[in-house]
Amino acid sequence: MSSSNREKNEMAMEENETNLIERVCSGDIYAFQEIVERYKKKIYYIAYDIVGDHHEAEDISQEVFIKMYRALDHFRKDAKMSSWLYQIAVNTSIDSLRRKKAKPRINVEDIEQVGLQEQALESASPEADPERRAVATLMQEHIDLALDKVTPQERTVFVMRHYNEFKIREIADVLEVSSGTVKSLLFRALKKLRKELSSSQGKHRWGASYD
Amino acid sequence: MIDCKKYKDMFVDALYGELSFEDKPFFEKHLKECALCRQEYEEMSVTMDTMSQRIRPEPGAEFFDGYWDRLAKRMDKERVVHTTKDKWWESLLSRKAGHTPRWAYQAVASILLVIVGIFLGRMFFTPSQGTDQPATMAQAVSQSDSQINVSQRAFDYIQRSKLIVVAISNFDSENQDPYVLDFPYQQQVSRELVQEASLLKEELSGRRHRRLQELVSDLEVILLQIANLEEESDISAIELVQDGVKSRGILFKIHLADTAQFRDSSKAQSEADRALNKSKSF
Repeated sequence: MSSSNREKNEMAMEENETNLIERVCSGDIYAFQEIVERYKKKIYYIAYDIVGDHHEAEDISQEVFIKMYRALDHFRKDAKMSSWLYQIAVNTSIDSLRRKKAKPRINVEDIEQVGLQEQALESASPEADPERRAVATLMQEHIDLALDKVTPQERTVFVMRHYNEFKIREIADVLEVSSGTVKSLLFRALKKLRKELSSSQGKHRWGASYD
Repeated sequence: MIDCKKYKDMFVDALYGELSFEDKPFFEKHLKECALCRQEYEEMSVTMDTMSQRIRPEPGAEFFDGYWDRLAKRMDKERVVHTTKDKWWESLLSRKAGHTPRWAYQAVASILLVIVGIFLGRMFFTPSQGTDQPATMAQAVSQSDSQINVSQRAFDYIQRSKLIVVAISNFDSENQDPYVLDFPYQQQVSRELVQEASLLKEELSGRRHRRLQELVSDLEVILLQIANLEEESDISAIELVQDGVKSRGILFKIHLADTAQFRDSSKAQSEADRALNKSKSF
């Protein structure tokens, strides 16, 4: 699909979304279902990358759609629906992350999470021998721990840019800050991640060299 | 050092390929000349590579297919909105409550009373069926009948959806007029099919009907998009639906379901023929 076609499609989608919102406001639940179908994956992945837990991410993503439904009457017609939804997703996830940091870390859901990650590792490299897989698991743990060390805001901009393919400008729009702020948060996140990863690499031998 | 500060501000843009065309040559020149910036940039680049090796566990297609049903249940439970077929009217009424005159409620209440009366009448005054079979046998027959009924209804659902999906997929936006699609009718049927989908998916739960359930879920999403198309002349929206059909491999899945149904019915036919031959030989 050419870029002009994509732009046309995006414009058509935006127009379509305004109509969808109007229909939801008049009580049409099918229009709301279509909004959910369009955004469920993106919202779930943003929530997952910020909080790092499957069950919580599903809970948050549902909460996002419920909040959206409740606030639809106040939605500014000139605003972009996707940015609004992403903003609710980011704020709800950050709140949840803060609450989670206040709680003790290991619980049953964490153990389930490790199981899910091991399954993901297995399907990503089924041919790898147990030793290499153990090293890979260790590396995943260190990556997760490094992500836990940055602040919620730094983590949010990093996961949005790095794993969810938002451009810096788009992140700025969603968070309602300047591009400069997003860049400095990203810069700080990368510096902290580098520090965390190099210290854990010092203790275990895995990953790329920082020498 | 002042220069370094200026170029460090560009690190993030450069690392994510968002550096402007004008800034790029100056940035690269500075990295060649400044060993400190070069080292820091390389270290950040390695950090990004390591972070890219993070594996995000995929929750799977089943998780996303059942997403709406779970959300709808939660919204019902939390009384955000009634999303099921019957209760949906309550939500509509509650949103419109401020503008609805009292006589409208009275009219709705009397229609409901008439419907309840008809239902009760049919329930208590219908002549009873013969009950010659033992209870266990009757239960077994009705259970297997319901299994067959569910599969049969699923195939019927797929056939009705197929007509719409094929018509949209075969539509050639460059050479055909969208009016040939007869949109108002297609949308009406799509809406009816979307309404049927939730109940059918529930009945199809279980390993035996997993594939049929997945196909019904896929069709539900596409039919919902068709039902929600705003204008029949909106070519880009039609193309989005066509992309959805292609990316989900819906036509291929329908073909597989058709083949499975043909195989099942041939098997049933040959078993019936065999039984008939056996009885003739006696």
